[in-house]
Amino acid sequence: MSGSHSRNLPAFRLLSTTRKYLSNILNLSQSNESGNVNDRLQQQDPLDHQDYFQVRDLVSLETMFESQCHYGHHQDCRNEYMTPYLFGTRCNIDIIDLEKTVPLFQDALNVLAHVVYRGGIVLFVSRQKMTMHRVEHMAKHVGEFAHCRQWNSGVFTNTEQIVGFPTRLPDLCVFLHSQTSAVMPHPGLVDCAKLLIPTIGIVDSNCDPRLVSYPIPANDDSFLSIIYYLKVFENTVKLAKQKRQDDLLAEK
Amino acid sequence: MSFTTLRLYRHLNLLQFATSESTYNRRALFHQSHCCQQNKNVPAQGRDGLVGSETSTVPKAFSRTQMITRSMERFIKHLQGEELKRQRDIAEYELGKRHLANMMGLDEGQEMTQEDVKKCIEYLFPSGLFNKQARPMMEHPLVLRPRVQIAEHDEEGRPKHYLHYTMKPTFYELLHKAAVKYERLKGFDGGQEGNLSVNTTASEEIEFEMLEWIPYAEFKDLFKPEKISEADYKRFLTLFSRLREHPLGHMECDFVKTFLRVRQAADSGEKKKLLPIKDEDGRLFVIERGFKKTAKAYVSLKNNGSGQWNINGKDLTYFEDVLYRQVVMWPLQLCNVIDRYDVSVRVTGSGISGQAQAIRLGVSRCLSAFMSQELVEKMRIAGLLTRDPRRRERKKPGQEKARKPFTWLRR
Repeated sequence: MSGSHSRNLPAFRLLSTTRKYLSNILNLSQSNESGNVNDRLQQQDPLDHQDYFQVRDLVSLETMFESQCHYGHHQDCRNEYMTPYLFGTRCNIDIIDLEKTVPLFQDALNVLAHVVYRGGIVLFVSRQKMTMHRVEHMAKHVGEFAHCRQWNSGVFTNTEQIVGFPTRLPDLCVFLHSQTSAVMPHPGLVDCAKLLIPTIGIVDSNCDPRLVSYPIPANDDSFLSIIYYLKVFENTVKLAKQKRQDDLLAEK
Repeated sequence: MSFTTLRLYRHLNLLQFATSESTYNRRALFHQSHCCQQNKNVPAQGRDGLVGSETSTVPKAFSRTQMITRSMERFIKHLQGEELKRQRDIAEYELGKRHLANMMGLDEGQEMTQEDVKKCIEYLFPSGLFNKQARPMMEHPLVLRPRVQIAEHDEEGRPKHYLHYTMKPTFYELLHKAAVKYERLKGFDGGQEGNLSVNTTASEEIEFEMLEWIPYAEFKDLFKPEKISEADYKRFLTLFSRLREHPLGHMECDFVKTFLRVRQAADSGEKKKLLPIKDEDGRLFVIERGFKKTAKAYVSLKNNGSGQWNINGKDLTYFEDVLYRQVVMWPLQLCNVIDRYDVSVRVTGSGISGQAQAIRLGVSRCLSAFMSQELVEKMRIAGLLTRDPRRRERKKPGQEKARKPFTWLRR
């Protein structure tokens, strides 16, 4: 999320509140010392900040390893597009290179935090029965949304017909499982792509990372690792919401 | 700039393009039709006829947040319109009722019920139409067009329910709650289990046993605007049965009980199902008869027992052969309730085997009054509830027995 380009992004224009906040600082600093304005703005612009929400610290290679995030599937099930993310094969089981996973995970968390910070709707999606209730619980706890049931193909694409009135669609979908079964990709991914909703997804060695906007190559079957992802996502959303509240208060 | 930033950049560019494009087209079309209405002499321009200065007058595209708030506003406006229309309809209906009362010479001070309205309409507009729904009618507008349930959302357009996007939020929330409770039960270890299960009294358990799940038709209506399919209902049954049958299930008794009903005797069946009666001790019992060949068994089955048997004044030793004891106990064994019921039997006629099978039928019939639909079905499939129709075949003249011919002799 670093770099000068991000500030020019149209949809990431600052919230009016944040902009006011910034202009206040700008005015203040102009009266004091005009030379430092850009530096100050640079510091305050969340998009220019490398890690505005300090979410990068939430991920560490050691904990991921301990949570069994490096286990892939049998090498025969491998999706060829996952090869660059793999470390090697042991006993015919693919091992995911966590050194490549960590920065991707951090970037994804940053995106998630930014979306939440701007008041976006986040939808957590999973089809794994074992952890379904945990995902739902987490979403409820954090004030976001969950969809862990059978995917109704019209939810996004035909909302007005199905719900009966216009509904705001999610701004970001987080797939804790990017497949419905061992073979099929989650139909939600297709719907998200149709409506240009960005997706964050855990992709195992048998998934297609091309379907996800922000793929996180890691194990998506183990109970331990899913609990770990849930914890990290929960903390990220909390941090972003806290930051949003703080900034709004500061503006007042 | 990292790889993901590039991705985001591309994505957002696309997003901006899509929103501005669609707004542009809509605006352009609107502009065009507006022009045509104003001066009809000017021939209608094609879609491509929009040129030069006109394009420059197209207002700036809305931002995404603006679009969202606009759509919510539109929706709220629509709802208000509907409500106004409904109120008008209701006023009209009330007026119509007064007119009806006038025409029929009824007392105006008295409130007309829907029944009265129906009678009046039938009298004033007699109709020979076969289809009842095609006949003239007058109903309250809320009955004809029920109010649309809407999901709650805040001013930003965020739905209030965390399962909103599943389209069945209340139903899935129920399943979620049950799943959380079930996981909690699974979390208790064996040591605690023993202590906790003692807490329930036997009578409570039996009461619990006499209940059955709320039927699909009724269940469906609990979540009215949401469409609950039969598959959903089955999912509900699986989860809740698991919760109920868990060794610690009684801990969530109150939660589960909201979806249980007291078992009713089936009205539609040819034979009404027996329901247990209470005796002086407060125990439930059923009396049934069982037959096989000429054997008749009068069986009474008492709940809350300890597996006592009384066959013609003796216990199970009435049958010397272990095989017949097994035959008699099979239905109880199938339902896994051997030590929970007391059985007393009076049996006459036929031989030992016939008597055993007659008792078996009687016990099965009694048990079916206590057991759930599923177990009864299991017993039926096992053939326990079917009376064996076979009788002794008569001896034929010219033959030694029913089928056996006399020995053939060469003469």
